[in-house]
Amino acid sequence: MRFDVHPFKDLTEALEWARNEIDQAAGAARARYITIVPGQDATYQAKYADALAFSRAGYPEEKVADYPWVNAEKSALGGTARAAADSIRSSGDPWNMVVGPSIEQIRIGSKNELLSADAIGDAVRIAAEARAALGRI
Amino acid sequence: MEEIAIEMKAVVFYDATGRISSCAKLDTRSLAAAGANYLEVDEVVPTYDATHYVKKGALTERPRMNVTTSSATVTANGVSEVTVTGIQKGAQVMVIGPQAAHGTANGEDIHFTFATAGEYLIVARLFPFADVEVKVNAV
Repeated sequence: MRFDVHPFKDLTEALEWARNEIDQAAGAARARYITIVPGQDATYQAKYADALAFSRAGYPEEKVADYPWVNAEKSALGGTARAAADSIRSSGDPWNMVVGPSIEQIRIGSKNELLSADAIGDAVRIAAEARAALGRI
Repeated sequence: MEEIAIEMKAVVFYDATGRISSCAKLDTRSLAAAGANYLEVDEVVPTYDATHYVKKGALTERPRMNVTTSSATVTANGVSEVTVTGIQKGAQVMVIGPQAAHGTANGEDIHFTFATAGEYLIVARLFPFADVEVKVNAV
């Protein structure tokens, strides 16, 4: 038999705590990779989206004016628009292609698992497992 | 004036189940007259109630549950377990510490998890067995 020793008065309270724990752990994981400088994260996301679109369009150098962030990078650093786009992507791909989706997968998956938790011990366990998994990223 | 001899003897008082409530040295003549449930013993031992009981009119050592613990330390993450074996079916189990819990043992191994760090005391009680106390440090 199990004895799960915890501070919650009922399952509802435990689930609310667990959801918050998961979100907090995901936030901490993100903070290890992305900046919190005001406006900087939005800038990186815009640059990355522009570079991704430019690369997926086949690097149309003649249309670089349609990709303002790639164009700005090219103008600032010189070289080709392709090189500028690849440079932006090399910085952003790890986060956008791997780390960010992984964090979100754990976060959303764990919260989904909470939907079928019917015991306080399960809520604590799911939150603890999510926290551990997010701590390893 | 007639002198009355006082007979001071060590006795234990007990209830219908044999559970000892106290141990003292008293004049037994007054006890007999009051119809008290008592048993003469060799000496006053204040902790007799923890170690002995009265069975069929005799002072008897309380039987012991053969309890083992998998670990004295556990991670306080709601997942890692301390397993306690040997707690008899029907024993009242209480956890005392930063959080509390209680229940009745079903005779199976008991797996404890802790969501909050701290020192806990697991107590199991089933008379006439001697109480069991297990300390666990959740870190």
